[in-house]
Amino acid sequence: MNAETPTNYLDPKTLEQIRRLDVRARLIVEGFITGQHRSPYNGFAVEFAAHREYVPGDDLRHIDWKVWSKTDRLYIKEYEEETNLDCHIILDCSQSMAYGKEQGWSKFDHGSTIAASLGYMMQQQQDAVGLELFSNAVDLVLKPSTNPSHIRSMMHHLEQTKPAKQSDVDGVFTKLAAQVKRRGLLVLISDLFFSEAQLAAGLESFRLRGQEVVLFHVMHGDELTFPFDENTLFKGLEVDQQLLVDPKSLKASYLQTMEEFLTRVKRVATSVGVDHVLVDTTKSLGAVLSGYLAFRQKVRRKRR
Amino acid sequence: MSFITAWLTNPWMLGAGALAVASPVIIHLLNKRRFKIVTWAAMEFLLEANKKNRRRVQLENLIVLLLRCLAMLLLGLLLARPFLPSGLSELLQNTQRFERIVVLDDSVSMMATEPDGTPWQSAIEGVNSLVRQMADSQTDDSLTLILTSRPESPVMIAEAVTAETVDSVLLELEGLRPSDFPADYRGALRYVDQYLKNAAPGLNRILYVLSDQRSKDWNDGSLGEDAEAPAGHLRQLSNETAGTYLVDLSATNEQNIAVIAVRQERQLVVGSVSRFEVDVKNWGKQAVRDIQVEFRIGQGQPLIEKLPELNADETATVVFQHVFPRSTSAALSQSLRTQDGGTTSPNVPVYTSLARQDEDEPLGWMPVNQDAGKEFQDIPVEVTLTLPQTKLDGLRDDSQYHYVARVLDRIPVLLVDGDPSSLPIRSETYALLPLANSDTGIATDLVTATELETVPLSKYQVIFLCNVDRISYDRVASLEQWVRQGGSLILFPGNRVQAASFNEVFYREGKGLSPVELREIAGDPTRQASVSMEPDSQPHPFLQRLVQIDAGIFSRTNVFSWWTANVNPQLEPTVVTVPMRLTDEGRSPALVDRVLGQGRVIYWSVGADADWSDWPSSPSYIVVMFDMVREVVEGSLKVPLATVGQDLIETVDLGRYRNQVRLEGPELQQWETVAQPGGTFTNATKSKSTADAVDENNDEGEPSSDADPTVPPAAGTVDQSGNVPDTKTVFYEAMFARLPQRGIYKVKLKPSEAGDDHVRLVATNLEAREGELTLVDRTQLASWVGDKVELVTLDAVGTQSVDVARDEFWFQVLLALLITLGLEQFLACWFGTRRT
Repeated sequence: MNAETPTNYLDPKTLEQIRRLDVRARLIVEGFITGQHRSPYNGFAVEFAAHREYVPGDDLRHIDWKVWSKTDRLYIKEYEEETNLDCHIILDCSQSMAYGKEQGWSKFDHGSTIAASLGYMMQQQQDAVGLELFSNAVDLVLKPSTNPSHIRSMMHHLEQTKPAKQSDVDGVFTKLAAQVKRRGLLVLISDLFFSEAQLAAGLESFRLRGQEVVLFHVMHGDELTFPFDENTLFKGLEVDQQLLVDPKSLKASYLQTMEEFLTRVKRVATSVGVDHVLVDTTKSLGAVLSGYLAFRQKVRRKRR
Repeated sequence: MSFITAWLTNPWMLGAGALAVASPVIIHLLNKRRFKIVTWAAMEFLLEANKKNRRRVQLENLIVLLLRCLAMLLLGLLLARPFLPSGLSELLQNTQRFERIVVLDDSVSMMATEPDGTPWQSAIEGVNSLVRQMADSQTDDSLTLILTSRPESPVMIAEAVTAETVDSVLLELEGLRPSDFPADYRGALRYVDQYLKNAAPGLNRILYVLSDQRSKDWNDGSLGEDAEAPAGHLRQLSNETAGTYLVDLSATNEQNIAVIAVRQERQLVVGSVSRFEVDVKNWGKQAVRDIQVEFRIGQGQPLIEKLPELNADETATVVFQHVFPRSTSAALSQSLRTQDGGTTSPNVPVYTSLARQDEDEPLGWMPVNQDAGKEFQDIPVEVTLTLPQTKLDGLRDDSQYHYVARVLDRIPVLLVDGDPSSLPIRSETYALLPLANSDTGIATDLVTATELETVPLSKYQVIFLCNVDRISYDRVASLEQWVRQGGSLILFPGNRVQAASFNEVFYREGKGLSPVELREIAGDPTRQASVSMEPDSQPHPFLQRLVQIDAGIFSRTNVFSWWTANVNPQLEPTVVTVPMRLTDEGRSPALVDRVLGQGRVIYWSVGADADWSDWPSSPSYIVVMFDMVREVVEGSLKVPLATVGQDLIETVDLGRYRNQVRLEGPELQQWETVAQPGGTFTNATKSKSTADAVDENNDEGEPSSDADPTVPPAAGTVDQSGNVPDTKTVFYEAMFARLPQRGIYKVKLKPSEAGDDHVRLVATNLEAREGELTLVDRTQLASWVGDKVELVTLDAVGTQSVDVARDEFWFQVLLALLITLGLEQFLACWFGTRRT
C-alpha cells in the first residue's frame, strides 16, 4: 500500500510523526470519514445557511419551492444543523497509560489521538464535544460545546497533559457522571487497569444518566502479546513493585491472565449495555473509528 | 587421593569436570545479572502470572540446571577414563579375588637342554612358586592350568588354592611331564577365550602363557590374515583379562640336530637288498661335525655311519642297505652293508635266535603277518644320532627316529596258463617259471584258466594271464576290483586268444581292464621274417636295468608273430604309456603300461612263451619280468608311519580277524576299539568325537567303545571299494585317535578263528618341525601381541604385582553423557514450547 493512501494515515507509526494533535485528528477524519458519513440527528433548531443550485440526487424535500416559484429555478436550502447531542470524551490519564512512551507511542498517545479524532469529527458534525480527563481524580473538565475554539482548547489540553498519578477511579466516575447533564454520547478511553467493580459501577452510573457509552479499551501491543525474551526487570508504573524474571517462562501464564481480564471487562461492558472496543496500539486507528461508526449506526437505527 | 587414583586413569580430569560443574551455575548467575528494565503497566497481571507459575518454572529450571551440571561432571569423568577397581566395586564384585589361568607349553621343545636345566623344569618351578604365593595370600584365589598338548582337557579348572589344598595342587603339578604333542597354542588360546566367555563374571582373571617362544609356534606366517594366529589371539584375549603375561622361559640354545625322515627306496622283500635313506637336519645356526648315525634294525647290531659335517640349516641324507633274511630260518643272517660314496663295507653276519626274541624282546622279529593275502613282517627300526659335543644337540628327543620296515615275506605271483601242456616246456608259462627262484623273493602258483575262476585273488600281488582267451564276467569284475586295490595284472595274449572274445571281456569298448583293443595276429607264422622291439629313448623302469647294461639288447630279439592292437584312446596319457614298440610297419605297441586304481595292468603283444619270438629263451626275458614284478609291487604295502597326535586308522580284514582291535603303546599302554565299516574314518571328516576310541587313562585295557565287540558286523555287505560284495574281502577300519607319544605301537588283531593275535607295528615320531628351536624375534612378538600383553621373565611370575581389573567403562560414561545432553536439550525445548 502506498504511503498516500488514506488508511496509512491511521497507522500509529505514521501518526507518531505528526506532533500536532489537531493536524493528526484532521488527517484522520478527513482521510477516512469525509463523504461517508451523514449526521443522523435532526435538530430542533435549524438555522438557514445558504442556497445552492439543485443537482440531481439531492433530496427533493430540501428544494426551496418559493425560490422556484419566483425564479423558476431549483434551489436547495442548506441548513446548519444543530444537534442536541452532547458528547463526553473521558480519557484516562493515569500513569499506566504512559506505557509505550519509551518505545515512542504510548497508550496515552493512542487514546488522546482517538479523543482528538472523535472530537474533531463531532465538531464537524456540529455536535457538542466535551473532554474529561481523569486519573485518581477528575483532572480536567471541558464542558461540551460546538464552538470551534472549544475544539482547539480540547486539543491543547490533550497535548499538554502527561499521564501521571495512579488510577483510582473510586468516586471519580461518580463525579464525572455528575458533570453529565443531558443525554448524549459518552466515550470512555482507558486501559481499565482498575477493578471490575469500579468499572461496572462507573458504567452503570453513566447509563443511568441516559448516556450511550462507548468503551475504547486501549491496550498496548506489548501488553497483549508479551513479546519479551531476555531477562527483564519489570518495574511497576503505578505500583511500586518490580519483578526480575525470564519472560519466556511467564508468557503463557501472563497471556492467560490477560485473556481472563479482557473477558471480564467485556462481560462487564455487555452487562450494562456498553460497547466494548478493544484498541491495540499497534493496530490501525481504523478499528477505533469503525467501532465508533458501528456504534452510531446502531444508535441511528434505534432512533428511527 | 589414593581412592581417586584407584579407579581413574587421569584423576585431574575428573577435578576439571568437577570444576566445570560450576559453569552452568555461573552462566545462570551471569545471565541473571544481565537484564533489561521495562517499566510495565500491567504489573498486576504479571505478578499474578508469576505467582501461579513460579514454582513450576523454578522446578523446571532446576532440573535443566542439574542436567547441565551432570553433563559437565560426566564429561570430566569420561576424560578421566574410569575403570572398575577392586576397592570400589569390591562390594558388588569379587574383583579382589583372582583366578590365574596358566597356559603351559608342554611340547618336546620344552625339554631342550639349557645350562640351568630345561625350560620345562623352570616352568614347573615358576608355577609352583605361583601356587605357593596364592596359598600364602589367603585370598581364596583359584588356578586353571591348560596344557598346549591337550587344551580341551585342562589339568585344573578354577581349582581353589588355599593353605589346605596347596599340597595336593603341588603334587599334581609334580606329576606333569612334557608330552610329545606339538604345542597347540591356537587350541589353548581358543579354549581360554571360550572359558572366559562362559566364566562367571566378577572375578579378576590373569592369564599367563608360559612358552619357550619358538619361532615355529609364534611366527606362523599367517599373522594379520588369521584371527586365530596365536599372537593375534593373545592380543584379543588381553582385552578380556585383568592382566596377560607372556612368560619367556629363557631358552637360549637354538642349536639342534634331528632325524626328520626315513625312507625306503622300494617295497621291502625278504631276501633282496633293501635301501633306506635317513634325512638328518641341522636346525641350528652353526655347523655340526662328526654326527654318528646309528641304524638299528630289530634287535640286530646297529649300522653306524658318520656324517663328517652338517652345515647350518642343511639336510643330509645317509643311506643304509640291508638284506632281510628269511624269517623261517632259525639263524638269521643279516647281510649288512653301508654305502657311502660307492665303497661297500664288508658283510657282517649276525646270528640271533628267534626263540629268544619271542620270549623276551617285544620288538624283535614279528611273526609273519598277513594283509589282504600278502604275507609280511613288521620289523622295528630305530635311528639314533649321537654327537661328541652334546650341547650342539639342544633337543635329544628328536635325535631318535622310529621306523617300521614292513617286509614282504615273498611276492605272491599267480601264473595262469591258457595253453597248458603235460610237457612243462610246451606250456605257455614255462619261460616264467624261473621267477620263483628263492633269491628273488617271488613265489609263484600255477593254475589253468579254468582254475582261475575259483582262486582267491587277494592272496596274490601279481597275476600273469598267459594266452588266456576267455574268463567269466564275474571273475573279470573281481579282477578289476583286485587291480584297483593294488594288484597288478600282466596280459600276455597268445595264439589261442580270439580278438573278439578278448575285447568283449577285457576291453569292453574302453571300459574294461585292458589298455588296448586287440585287432589281429600279424607276422610270419613260418618264422621266416621277423621284427624286433624298440624301447623308448627314456627307458621304462622295467627295462631300465637291462638297457643300461646293453642298449641294443631289444633290437637283437626276433619277433615272428604278434598281436596288433590299438591303445585305448579314452585313457589319459598320464595313466597309460607305451614304453616299447615293435619295428613293424604299423609300429604296434609291444608293451603297454596302465595305472588303474592302486594297481597296474600291463600288456605284452608278444606271447609269454617262445612260440612267437625268441626273446623268452633269452636271459634278458626273465630279468625284465623280475624287474617288472618288483616294480609293480613297490608301494603296494603302505609304510606304517605316523606323527604324534595323528589318528591311526588300521584296516581290518573281517574275513580273517574279529572287529575288536587292540593297540599297545610304546610304554605298554593298552587301548581297544571296534572296527567300523570301511570309509567311516577315511572318507568322513575325522571328528574328534571319535576320540573316545582312545582312552589315554584306560591302562587296564578295558574296551572304551560302547559297541559290543563280540557281535561280528554283518560280513559281505560292505567292502573297501563299496562295489561288489565279496565275503572274503570285507574291510573294516579301526581308529585310534591322537597317538599320544613317539615310539613303536603294536596293533593287535584277533583272528576270527582260534589262534594267536596278529601284530602289526606302527612307528610314530615327533612332528618334524619340533626340532626347530629357533626363537621368535621378541621385538616382533611384542608388537604382534600388543601393549596389553606384558612380556616377562619367569622370575616375575608370582611376584608380579598385578593391576586390578582395569575394566574401563568409558563407553558407558559416554553413553550417559549423550543421554544427559539429549535429555537436557529435549527438556529445555519442551519446557520452552510449553511456556510460549
